[in-house]
Amino acid sequence: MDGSATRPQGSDGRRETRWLVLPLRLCAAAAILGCGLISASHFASADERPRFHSDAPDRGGEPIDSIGPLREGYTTLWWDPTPDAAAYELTDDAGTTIYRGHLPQAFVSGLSDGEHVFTVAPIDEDGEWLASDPLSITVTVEHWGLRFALLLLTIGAIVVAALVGVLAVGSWLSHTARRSHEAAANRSATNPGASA
Amino acid sequence: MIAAIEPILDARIGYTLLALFGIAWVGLGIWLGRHATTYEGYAVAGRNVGLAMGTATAVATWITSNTTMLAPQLALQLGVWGMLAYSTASFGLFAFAPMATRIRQLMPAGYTAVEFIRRRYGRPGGIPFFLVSVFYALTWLISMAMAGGKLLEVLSGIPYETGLTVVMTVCVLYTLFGGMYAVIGTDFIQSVIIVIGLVVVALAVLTRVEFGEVHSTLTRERPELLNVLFPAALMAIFNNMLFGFGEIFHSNVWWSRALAIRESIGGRAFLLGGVIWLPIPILAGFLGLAAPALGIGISQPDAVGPLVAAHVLGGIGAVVVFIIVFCSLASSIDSLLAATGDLLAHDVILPTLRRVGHHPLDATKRAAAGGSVVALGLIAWGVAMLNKSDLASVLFFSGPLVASCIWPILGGLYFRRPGPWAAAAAIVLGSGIGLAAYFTIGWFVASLVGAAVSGIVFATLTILAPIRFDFRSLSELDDSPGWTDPATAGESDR
Repeated sequence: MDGSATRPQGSDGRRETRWLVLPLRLCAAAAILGCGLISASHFASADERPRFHSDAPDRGGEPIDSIGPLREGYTTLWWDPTPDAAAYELTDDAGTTIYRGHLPQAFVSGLSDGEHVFTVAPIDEDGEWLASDPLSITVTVEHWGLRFALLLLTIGAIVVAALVGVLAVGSWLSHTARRSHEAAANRSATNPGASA
Repeated sequence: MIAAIEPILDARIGYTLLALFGIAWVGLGIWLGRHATTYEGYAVAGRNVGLAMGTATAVATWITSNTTMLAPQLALQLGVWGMLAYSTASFGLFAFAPMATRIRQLMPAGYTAVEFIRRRYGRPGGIPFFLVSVFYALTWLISMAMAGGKLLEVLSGIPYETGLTVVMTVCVLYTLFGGMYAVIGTDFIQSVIIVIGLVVVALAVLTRVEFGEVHSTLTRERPELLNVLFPAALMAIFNNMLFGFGEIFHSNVWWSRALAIRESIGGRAFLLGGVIWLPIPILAGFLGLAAPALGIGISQPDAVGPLVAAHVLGGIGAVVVFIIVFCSLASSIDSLLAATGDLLAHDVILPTLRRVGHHPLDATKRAAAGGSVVALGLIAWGVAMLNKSDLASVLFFSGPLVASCIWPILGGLYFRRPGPWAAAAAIVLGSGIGLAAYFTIGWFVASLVGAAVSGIVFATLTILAPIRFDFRSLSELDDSPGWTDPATAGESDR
């Protein structure tokens, strides 16, 4: 009786325990997974170095290490801002300073065919580099073919020449027509009988 | 090397200048607009504008904020060729000179470009042309409104929304009360201020920087900008020229001026306007090329012009640039508001009223034009307040659209044979294929491709399906098309 009495009780108790344990285990697993993800992302972000971007980072620009091939020889370079930077200094592969300013972006242009390496470093108020390992990006330039450009230049010249020609002929025709119309009007004014 | 983008003017000075010029333009506009007692006075300034005012309005309208901001950018992108390519937009004014005289002769009582196309080509040509015109006008207006907000913010730290609202309110007010009289009158003063200001800035830069220094810096740091055979720049030369032709030939901004200037001097006014405008992009472009030699770091190429001016002239330079920018913005926005307002009133509202049996009196016509100005101002303000940077770039899509209108306008003005389907197909196919070139190759070929395709289509269909148009019908008050099909009329115009 006691046993039979306890068995069902025990049985009910185990069912009740299982009902509680399953959600608890799920909660624990979720907590561990969550903590793992948070700590992983924390360490990842702490470990992640600033990067160049395909567009302004706040506009969703993707991290990149190279750009190109550019067909027009110009582009804007964006990079992650550095919290302590007073300004940034961008240099080309010859060591020439192309840009120094407080915005984390620079416009480079007039690049000839080939690979160009640009390096940016955050600097403090005294102009000293803040990072020992500055960022670099490779920009590849491959201009449009000269034959293609000259072909379009020629087409443009033909279109404009045709336009000027049509305008000149049209103006001449309308001028001539107007002159003859005025002459006819004058004739009819001086000699009303003729027109009648 | 100096820091790139900081407000170059104290915000208090910016607000003071904004208030002073805002009050001056509104007051002047209302005073000048006292002559606008009729709809004809309001829309086309009584068709009696003289040479000085006509020339000044051509110059002021064509000097937009783009001229002072985009010309240095184009010089930095495409080098010396880019700078020269921008200045070829003045050729559009030269070409429009004889057309202005022709327009006045053909349509002595006309009001808009859309009216001409509708009467010349009927609905087939009129509908695509109307869509292109409205798209171009709205995108230009919105981009100018956005440029106003952004430039005042960059120059003086005035918040974008405040600058945008003040610029639009001032322009809407004086255009609303003064119509074309106010627009042309203020354009005269604005053009004088802009030209003097730019010459002062350019001379100051030339005294601080030597050509040799600019050349050696560019050779070292940006060699392609000096390359005579820079491929993209070579492609851009005629593209920009044709974009300029398309903008001027099709836009009601220019047609309303052609119809407002006295017939005998219209041609000279546009010719002189082009001559005065031609060196301005070269002066502005040189600021861009001089920036590297001055050690100015460039983060945003469209802001390099003001930056160079402020760097060379200091505080006075910043004030001069602020005034130039405000004048160039106002002179373009007011022209767009007036011309597009007339277009909507004359080609949409008034025909709709007539269709429902109402015959509008002069006061109704004026009210329709004024209401359109306010509506356009509100639309442009509302869209610009969203501050979506992509919106401004939409203006560049209009290159192939307007370039594909060149041939239908030119052919329609001077020759009797081009028909409605030639015009419609030229606009539609030129726009479509030009836009395809925009996305597959780049902006620097889109207008060229649009104009070339449109020209081939227009010429082919004119030969295959000619009509016989009676130009005298354009001077009649009856709105019906004045063309007949030679096949049905039994005679040819060959």
